[in-house]
Amino acid sequence: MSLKTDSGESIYEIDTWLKSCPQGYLRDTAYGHKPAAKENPFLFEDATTREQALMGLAHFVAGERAALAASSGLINAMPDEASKIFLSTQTLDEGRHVEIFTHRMMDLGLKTAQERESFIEGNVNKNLIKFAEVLLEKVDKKDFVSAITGQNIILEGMAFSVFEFSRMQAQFMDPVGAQVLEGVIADERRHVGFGENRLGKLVKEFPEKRKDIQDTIKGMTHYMVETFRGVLKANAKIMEEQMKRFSHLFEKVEFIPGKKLLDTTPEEQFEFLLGRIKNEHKKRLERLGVEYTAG
Amino acid sequence: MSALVMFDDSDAPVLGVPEKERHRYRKQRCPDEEETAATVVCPCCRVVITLEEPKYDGMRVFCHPCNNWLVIRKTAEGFRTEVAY
Repeated sequence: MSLKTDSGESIYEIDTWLKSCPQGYLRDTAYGHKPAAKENPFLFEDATTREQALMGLAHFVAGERAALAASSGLINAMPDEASKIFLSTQTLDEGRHVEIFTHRMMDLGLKTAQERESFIEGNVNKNLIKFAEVLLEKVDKKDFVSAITGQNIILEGMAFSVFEFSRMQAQFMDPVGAQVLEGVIADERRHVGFGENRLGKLVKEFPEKRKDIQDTIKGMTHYMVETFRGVLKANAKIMEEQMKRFSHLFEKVEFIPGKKLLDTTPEEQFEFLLGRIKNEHKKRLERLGVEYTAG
Repeated sequence: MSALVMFDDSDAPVLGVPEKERHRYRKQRCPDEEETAATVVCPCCRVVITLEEPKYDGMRVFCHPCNNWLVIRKTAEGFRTEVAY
């Protein structure tokens, strides 16, 4: 496996990350967006719309806190220097994600840490918290195969699709939030890419590691699926009401080519997204030579 | 006004790509967009990459957003893109 890009740069070096990310797509941004980016005033004036945005952000903060703890904890567990160095950049990425999503919560009115923590505590689905606990147990045991599987394949793989979906929704109501998500999505691509590559190389050398990956997927996917179902249950009614309220904005919007957004229910949207995530996991694992056996 | 498609992401920027390569990268027009003779869809991160030469068996393409090398394999059904580990 070549650790060089097509122009000869080292893939996992900090210097490559600096050029791509802070000196690249994050240049001239503040908290993930251009300082001159225009807010949609409605997001701040309408309590329901604002609340919905905050619910999403609360889950993002919780997920990114788990990723921050896992990435930083894994640095010592990784057996090779290139992986340690990459994870040091991922740690900084995840710290940035915690910061920018927290800052967005402040933008939306939760100015004090106490308000934000209280909101997160009261609204984040408990299965996401449990997922984080299981992930960090693996990190603490220095089980890097299971931890990379849990973090870079399951968590980041899910986050990647959820952020893309959220960005697509945000372009209607929250253009600044959509910009913030663009940078996060770019980071997640890199993280998922690392996870797949590292595990792929590992199972080529040590085929018996496939079982560890399979067991991790089986044990952790459940919490991911239940997080989805829980968030849907808590939000379906509001989503349905919002789509009706803003039907004039959405009347020409298609969810996927040929299917109008207004002809879909929140349940259908969630099931589509969850199906996409599970399918991605399945295909990724197939490429690694691992059977996907989770529900 | 033409329909705006939520999952048509092809106008959104693909970040993390060097400037001289950006014209070759875009996001998918629909979920599970299929490859063409001139494009590959990265199996890992789903960006669509336009190739600068015709596909051939064993062709290697670097995907900048996810930092993976891709290999194109010729099969009975056509071409298949794999991630090289």
